Amino acid sequence: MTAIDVELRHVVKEFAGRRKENAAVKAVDDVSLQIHKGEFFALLGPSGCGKTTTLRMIAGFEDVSRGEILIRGKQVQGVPPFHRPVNTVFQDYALFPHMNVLQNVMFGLQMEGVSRADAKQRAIEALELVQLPHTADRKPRELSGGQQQRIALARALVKHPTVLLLDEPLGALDLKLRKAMQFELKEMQLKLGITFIYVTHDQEEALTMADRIAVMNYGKVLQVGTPEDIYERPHTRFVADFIGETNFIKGRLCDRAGVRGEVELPSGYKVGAVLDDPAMSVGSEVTVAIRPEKLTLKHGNGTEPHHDSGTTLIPGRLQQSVYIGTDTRHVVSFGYNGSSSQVVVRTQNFRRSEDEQFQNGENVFVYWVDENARVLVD
Amino acid sequence: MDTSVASSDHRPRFQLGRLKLKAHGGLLALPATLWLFLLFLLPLLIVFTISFMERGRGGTVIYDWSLESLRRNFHDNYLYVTTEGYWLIFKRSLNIAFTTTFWCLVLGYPLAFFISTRRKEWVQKFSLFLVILPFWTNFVIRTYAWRVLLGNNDDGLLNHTLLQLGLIEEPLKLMFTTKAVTIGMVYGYLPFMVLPIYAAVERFDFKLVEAAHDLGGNDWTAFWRVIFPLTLPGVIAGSILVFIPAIGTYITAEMLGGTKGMMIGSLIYRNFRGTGDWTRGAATSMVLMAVVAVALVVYALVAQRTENTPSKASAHHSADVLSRAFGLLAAMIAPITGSISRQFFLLSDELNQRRRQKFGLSPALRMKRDLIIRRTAPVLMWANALFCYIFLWVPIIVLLVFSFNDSNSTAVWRGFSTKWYSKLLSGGIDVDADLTTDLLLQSVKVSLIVGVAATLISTIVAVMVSLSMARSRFIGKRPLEGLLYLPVGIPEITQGISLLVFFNIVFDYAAKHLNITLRSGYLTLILSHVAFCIPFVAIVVRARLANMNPHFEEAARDLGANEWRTFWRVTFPLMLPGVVAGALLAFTLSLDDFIISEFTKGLNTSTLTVVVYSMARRTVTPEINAISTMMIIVSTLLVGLSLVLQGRSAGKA
Repeated sequence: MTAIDVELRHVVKEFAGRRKENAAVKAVDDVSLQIHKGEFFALLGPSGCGKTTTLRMIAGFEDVSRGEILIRGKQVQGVPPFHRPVNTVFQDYALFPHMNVLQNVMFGLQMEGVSRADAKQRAIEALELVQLPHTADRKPRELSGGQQQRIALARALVKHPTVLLLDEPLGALDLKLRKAMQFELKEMQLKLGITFIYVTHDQEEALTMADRIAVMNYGKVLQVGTPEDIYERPHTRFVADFIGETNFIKGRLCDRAGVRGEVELPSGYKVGAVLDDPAMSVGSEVTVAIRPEKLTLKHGNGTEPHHDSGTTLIPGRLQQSVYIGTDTRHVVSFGYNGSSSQVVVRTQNFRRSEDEQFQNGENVFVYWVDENARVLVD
Repeated sequence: MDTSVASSDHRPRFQLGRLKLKAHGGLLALPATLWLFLLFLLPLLIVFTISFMERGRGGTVIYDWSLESLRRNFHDNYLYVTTEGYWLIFKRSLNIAFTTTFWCLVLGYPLAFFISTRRKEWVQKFSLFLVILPFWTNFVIRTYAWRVLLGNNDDGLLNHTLLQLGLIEEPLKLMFTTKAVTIGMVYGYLPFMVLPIYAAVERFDFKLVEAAHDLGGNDWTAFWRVIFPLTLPGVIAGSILVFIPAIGTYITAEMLGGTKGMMIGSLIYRNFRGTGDWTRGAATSMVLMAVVAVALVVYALVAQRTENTPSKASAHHSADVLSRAFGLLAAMIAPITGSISRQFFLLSDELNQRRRQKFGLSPALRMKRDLIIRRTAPVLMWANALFCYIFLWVPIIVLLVFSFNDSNSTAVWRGFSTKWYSKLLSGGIDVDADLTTDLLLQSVKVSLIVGVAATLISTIVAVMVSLSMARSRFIGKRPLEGLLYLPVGIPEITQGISLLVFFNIVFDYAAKHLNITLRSGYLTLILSHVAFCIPFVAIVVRARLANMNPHFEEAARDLGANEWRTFWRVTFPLMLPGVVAGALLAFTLSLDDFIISEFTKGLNTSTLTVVVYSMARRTVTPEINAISTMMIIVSTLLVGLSLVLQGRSAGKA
């Protein structure tokens, strides 16, 4: 078993309500996490989900209302941030504007009582690590956003923290720079072997960099797992929806065999999917979740809708096809009883042969392998 | 389609409007420029000149330009200033001014920090209001309140109370000491320290404190390495705003210091009003200006160094405005001070290092120490805030309470009575034989006429110059900027005597060459009051303009309004709160002023402050308490009214 660097046990953070009659607001609600040594751990969720508050509690900027936090097995309740073995890369970097780059990076070492000469030496090494030794004499405002980001990283890393906390560090950068920095951060983390806890609302960022991801919403952790776990096997509708694009088809579970289930749609068609929770009972209202890229489009002539031998084929009408470079995005509607629902189908543009061309308004079939669809409880 | 046609139609007219504004931009600045040139800069230059001249008979000046006499008189005037008697007073003034600034900083910084870190907005506003309100009450009255408190015998409230409690056996010597002067000035100028620091802390990004904590700095280190350096501009601005009036003070030194607490201001005053040695007074005044100039340069240097720190709204605060005005000066000397301060930091790092090696604490002890700091700091801050509020409010409350006392005493309560008020209003004043209710009413009339006129004129002139500075470019804009804000940094006493000299020269000239006899009176009062009000109104109005989104005006023009209509329909309504605040400030300053009115008033045109001062400096009586109470109530009503007006217009905007 790998060593645990940071552990959260039933952590709750309540903020006093704005008015007296309002109950306290739970920003973080009973969160338990175990973050392993040397791991790149992402806290992912929409804004206001409690991920930043969680990070700030680990850093020591917020007190824990209930529960406990352990860093390297030690309780840190009541330990102020300046006595915790963690360092933070702040969202807007929080570089000291009145100090130059070198002074910023040296600051933390001087706080430890490292001698001036040693501190300078180590600060320059840290600046070399982020490839910005030539900026040592500049003031933070003279640097670009990307450079400031690296300086903030150097300032935190120079202290050799047990855990590095990163609060949406790439949020202010443009897309291209962000991609480059994602790669670099990951490289650096592998090289240094420091545990990273990374807060982001960008699912792609989390999927790209993290070893494990915790998806949060409304102060709760909904699912913890590897990027593949989270993407391929989301447990809840929220997780499926938040990470990537997902089609949701409502229906009723009409049959099951082991983890395989059959769902009857309101239109009467039956479709197959894997049960997320093996304990689901037949007859309950469920949602079938399936990624657009797991769907295939087939021409409508001479085919019959079916659901057998682990595949599903249901009819619909092609509303719209949008060419988006690598892929084509098709919107297909299923009409029944006057109402209609839609699914999105993504096909890769690698052949673009005649039989893959579809006309808007054409009757088509949507096809999938049942293993790729998941039945979630509503 | 329609819109594109319309806009291409309008484009030429836009251009025309812009040209017009450019041409008129300089003209809008003209009244303020002339006013300040004639009634501020020119008189100052005259005083500078006569400080080298020879004394004539009876307060006149002999205009003698020979090199020989210049040398002799330079010796006479300037070297005399550094002789024993004068130099003693200079040293005392410097001492008192520095002590005052020091205490204002020690009390004011934590207070400002306390106010700006209140979480609830209304608590913050209210705490600030409690600091500002005493500032709106007349300075003479606020100083008088300390006379009531610090009386040397049993009739001083503090002495009386201490004697009653048995804490002392003999009355303490409180009044007419340098300590009394210092207390009175800390009291008078504390808001000047609190406001700029409050503004600086408001703009401070507390994320940086988290960063400092995160990197291992405890609360103490985070404060001294991060918060304090970044709020230093506020500290320096506050120190300057306290130091300058403190070094040139007249009222406080006269009322609380007596002969033991005599300061430069009194020296200058006596040369112009008592002995009539104008040239020496002018020289003394110029030496005072030199001290002030040094203070301003120091300020400009620090402001320059820290100007580059990020700020949410620059040009918002008087601090920024001042820093820009003196920025040019500072740019020249900045490299030197830069290296000095670097050396200083190196040294302090070195010392820290040694101290740490010598007295290195174990981690557990360090943690304990840091937690103690964390717990005690807020307690100390609360205690300081509480002390400041008591300090600021007790004198005023005592004044109010004892105006209703049923006895002659201002220290012993004998029962509730309104007899002092009825006595005042029925004309039965017996403070002084020649001080009657008629005289008092006359002075109220003078104050109102001068106050209203000065407010109206200075507001209009200041709004014009603010608009021209904000919206157009013209030659001489930078020097004008300096001229506009320089009066803020010149001691009042210097302004007062320079106006006295200036008007005298004008009257002489008129009598000799034009055969017109001119005398000081309403006109000189109003001219002078407008001159010292313009800069303050301009600061307030310009702050408002700087905060205004220029897109509103662009939108109005885009929708087809010409310059004129844009101004009246958009610009003016948006800047109105600033204009109202500026006008109120002007009115208060005008009512509050003693020194400049003293030197520019005529025979029957003493203002209320002048009359109250002439009474209050000599005696402490319940009648003066009653007058003070009425003045406090009027100014409180004024502030209340302005808050309501501002609140309403803010609500509309």
